[in-house]
Amino acid sequence: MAESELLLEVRNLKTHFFAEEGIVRAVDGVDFTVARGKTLGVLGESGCGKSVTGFSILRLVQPPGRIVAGEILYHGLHGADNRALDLARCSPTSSQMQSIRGGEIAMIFQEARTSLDPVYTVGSQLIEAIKYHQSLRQEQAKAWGVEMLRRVGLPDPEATFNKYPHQLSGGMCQRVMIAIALSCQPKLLIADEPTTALDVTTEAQVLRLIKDLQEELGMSMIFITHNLGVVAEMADEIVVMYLGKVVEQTDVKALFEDARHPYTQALLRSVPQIGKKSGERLQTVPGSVPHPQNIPAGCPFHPRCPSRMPGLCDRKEPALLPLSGNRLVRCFLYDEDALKGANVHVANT
Amino acid sequence: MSMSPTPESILEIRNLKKHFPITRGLLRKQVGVVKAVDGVFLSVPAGKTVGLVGESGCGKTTTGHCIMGGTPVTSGEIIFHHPQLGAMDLAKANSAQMSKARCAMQMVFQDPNSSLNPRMTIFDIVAEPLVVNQVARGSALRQRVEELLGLVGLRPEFMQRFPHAFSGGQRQRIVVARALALNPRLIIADEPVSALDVSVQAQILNLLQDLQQTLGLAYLFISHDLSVVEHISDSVAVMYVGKLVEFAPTQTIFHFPKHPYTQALLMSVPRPSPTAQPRAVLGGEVPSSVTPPPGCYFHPRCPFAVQQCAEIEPELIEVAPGHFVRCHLAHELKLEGVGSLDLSVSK
Amino acid sequence: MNETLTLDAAAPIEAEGKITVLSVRQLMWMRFKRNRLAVIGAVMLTMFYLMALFAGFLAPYDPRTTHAEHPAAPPQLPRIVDQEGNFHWPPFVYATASKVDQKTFRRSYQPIGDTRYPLRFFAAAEPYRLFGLIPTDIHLFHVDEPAKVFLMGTDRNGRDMFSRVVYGAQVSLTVGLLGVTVSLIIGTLLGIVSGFLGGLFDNVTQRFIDILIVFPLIPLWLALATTIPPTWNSVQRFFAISLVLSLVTWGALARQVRGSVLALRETDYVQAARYANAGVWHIITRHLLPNTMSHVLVIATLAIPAMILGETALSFLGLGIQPPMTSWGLLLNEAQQTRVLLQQPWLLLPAVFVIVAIIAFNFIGDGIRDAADPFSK
Repeated sequence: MAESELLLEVRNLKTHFFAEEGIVRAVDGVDFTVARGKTLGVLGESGCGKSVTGFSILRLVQPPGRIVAGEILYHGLHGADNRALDLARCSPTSSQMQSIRGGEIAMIFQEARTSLDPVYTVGSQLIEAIKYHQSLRQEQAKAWGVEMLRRVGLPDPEATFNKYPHQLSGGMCQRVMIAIALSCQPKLLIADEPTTALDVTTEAQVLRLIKDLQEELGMSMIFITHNLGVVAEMADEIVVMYLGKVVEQTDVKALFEDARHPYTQALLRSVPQIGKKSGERLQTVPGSVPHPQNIPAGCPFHPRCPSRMPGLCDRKEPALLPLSGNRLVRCFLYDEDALKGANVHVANT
Repeated sequence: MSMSPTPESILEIRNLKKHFPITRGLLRKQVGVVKAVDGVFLSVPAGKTVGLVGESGCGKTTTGHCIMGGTPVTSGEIIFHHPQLGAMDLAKANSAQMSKARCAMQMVFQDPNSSLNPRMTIFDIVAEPLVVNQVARGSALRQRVEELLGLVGLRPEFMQRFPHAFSGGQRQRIVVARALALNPRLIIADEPVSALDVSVQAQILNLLQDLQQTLGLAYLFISHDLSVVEHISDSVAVMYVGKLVEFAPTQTIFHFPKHPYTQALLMSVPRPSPTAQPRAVLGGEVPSSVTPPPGCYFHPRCPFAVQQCAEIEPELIEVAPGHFVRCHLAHELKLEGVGSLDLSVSK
Repeated sequence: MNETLTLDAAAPIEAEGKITVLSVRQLMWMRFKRNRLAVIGAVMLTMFYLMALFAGFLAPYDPRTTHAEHPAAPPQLPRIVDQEGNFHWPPFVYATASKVDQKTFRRSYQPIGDTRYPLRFFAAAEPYRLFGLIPTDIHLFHVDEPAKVFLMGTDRNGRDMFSRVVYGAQVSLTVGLLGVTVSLIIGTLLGIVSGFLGGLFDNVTQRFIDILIVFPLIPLWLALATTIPPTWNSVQRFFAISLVLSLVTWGALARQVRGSVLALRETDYVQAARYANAGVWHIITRHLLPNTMSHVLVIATLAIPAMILGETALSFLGLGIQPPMTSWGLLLNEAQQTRVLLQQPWLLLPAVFVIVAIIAFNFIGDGIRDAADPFSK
């Protein structure tokens, strides 16, 4: 990928939480890149660190959590040819970080209603966000706010502008959130499960809206979700996370047609697909996601993996291997050196 | 409408309504009414699964609680064919009849975190229905609890542990074990896999199917996830703002829907395939069940709506044997099912 | 299928370590222990209650004994270094005598002679009944006559303040417990019933509590305290006072319990119990009570200080505990005059005990509140 197309590079990011009970390695070595104008889907189940990754980029991780290693290189500030800014080294409270938050990188969350302040009108929250990043007069900011509400497809934007969050439905609240997030035309939008709390018909509306706005504004997006269908619809490139690590990274088509990591394969097989009623049992992933404080040794997926190799997977941790077609997989099955060295046979795959 | 009572059906619901009054002020003056459930017809055959789908607030969960007797019914009939006592109308049942009915039907809840008392051991939780109904005690009780835990795939050694020691999927197994304690014929499963991780959902779905086969259970499977409902159900009921809008066998409803709302729902399901056609987007918002629009509740969002739809409320009609639709245009419309979508994962 | 299921059942539990198999109570205890202030509070309170329990043993004198030669004596701490600078063990005191200044009429105490009177530990002195039952005369420490040991001085009648504070703890620390127990029983019962049943009963109870709560506290206490027949002896009066205190505070407790029952009533596990045909009694005892108990415990712990203060206030105003019984509030009642502040400030020392006890209760209450929900982060 050419340098100039890159917007964000995350290299070996580690965010750990130092709880009294022990260290939780919520994000433990995540690498990915986000290209300009493209969408990176981050797919994973609960506890895989996908949300913490999003918070880490915006430096919103609260103590006892902190970034312990890695770089978050943001290429959007000084034009494409300039040096990138490492967000991991910025102070979370610095003015630079505060202008990046919202101005350059914005975030939307799952629970739109709880992200909005119930005692202020939609309009005043929108104006606050606009005026924080742009020196506009009150009337200009208001006009821009109404315009944003119109662009996110809210009926009667002037009336909605003066409403309180509780007067709006869940889908409308999410639209307001999107309007606030996009009001300063960020170059990157981090969407953390933005439609999980919504019904399917509303979800379809909101996803369509996000996609249209992305095209219109030419922004990049990190789309965090656990839903395979949603990620297939939204993403260009996908990273699959499991227990704080990226286990597979590839483009969306390759992932759904030819997933390589046993976890991704199992995940794809275990979800019933609409229109494909077969009457057969679903294939399952045995066990459940371990508690993040008790991550198994070796490959974190090995206790649940159908193709685990005793003596290898439970001892050593696989590295993220580049495969053909610009994809990365963290699995010993594709590591010929490790297979030869360990001299093990692949258990019944 | 007459839904012909089939001898083998275990549950039949006819025109069920549940209205909640909205009260204001000290004197509890009634200022409005929430029509949470406002005309539901259903028939669950013994040993089969009926999926009940709809968006949040459409009344599907309230329907489940009405069946369980958790809330008094406003009107309608809930005919439950008790294996020993024969047919009984739960809508009019007194508490003694209701408690007998509950021995033969049980509920599985959505969130296994909140449906298990954190202060009770697994043994106490699973034994509770047996103790309360004085079915077993002492060693017989212990044996039955062990048997139930085995049935849902949990080791009996864990029964002195507390729920917080278990993962989400395991907790849902405990909930299922408790529901099975009294040997019910019907299980009302209210979004039983929605709160679970994707990789664990399949385990619970398989468990439910296995239990259906070995124990001959009937399920009323309430869910908003159409892919899951298609997978597990023999027939499907679709609800919109408290009303049943379509009821048909699964294949029929997914491939040949007759109600525009059903079609819209099917079209808006996200499909795990990047080559699938973009989803069709249904405009507008779900109306409030306090102030629903006149005529057909769906007409403001319906692409096929005609004058009649805004004025006259459609009745449920049987367009084909076992296929019920609440739409004026049910006979005229040619709607597309999921078969029309390009779902092939191949090039 | 079987294989996957057993794997599923076993793997996470074994992997999750030993913490997860603890009961809720053990988890709460673990969290409580982590709160250092709460542990300090617990240690202090334990010491206070031990002090109240072994009052007769700790106090060198009977709290009612008047030492006529030593009225309003200042605190006299035992010394280990004599007037010549020599070190002595065990600690000793000098005998003292008072002298009244003829011009100012102020009394001052001077040592008489340099005879040292060592403290005698576990010495036999005035007889008392340990725990009110076992007759004995062993005290922790004592000195031979004519010397006296007044750790906290004496009041104007010459009664040893330290002994009075130690005995006063018996009343002051138990009146709160007793009062809270009574209001706990009334409050929990009414709170659970009105939360669970709702409807008219709930409405009537809540309005009654409203009325109870809007009364100003002290006048209400005073009014209730004056209704206690003056003919009652001090023990009866003690129980009456704790009843008065609890009658006023149960309302707030009932309201809090009702609040948490209203939330619990809607939980899925209570619904599941209902659908399993569980009766009201079963639901209350198995589901509602255990899950409100930790919450109730917090409220109760935080209500005890208010009760102690209430007793102190009532006794301070002369309507609470009556002599010959003594309490911290009653001791402060005797320190009402300004002269005390100027000339006998040691008479205010009971206030320090009140403050420390209340702070300790509040620390513990905070600790229990943090521990009450062991699953929160």
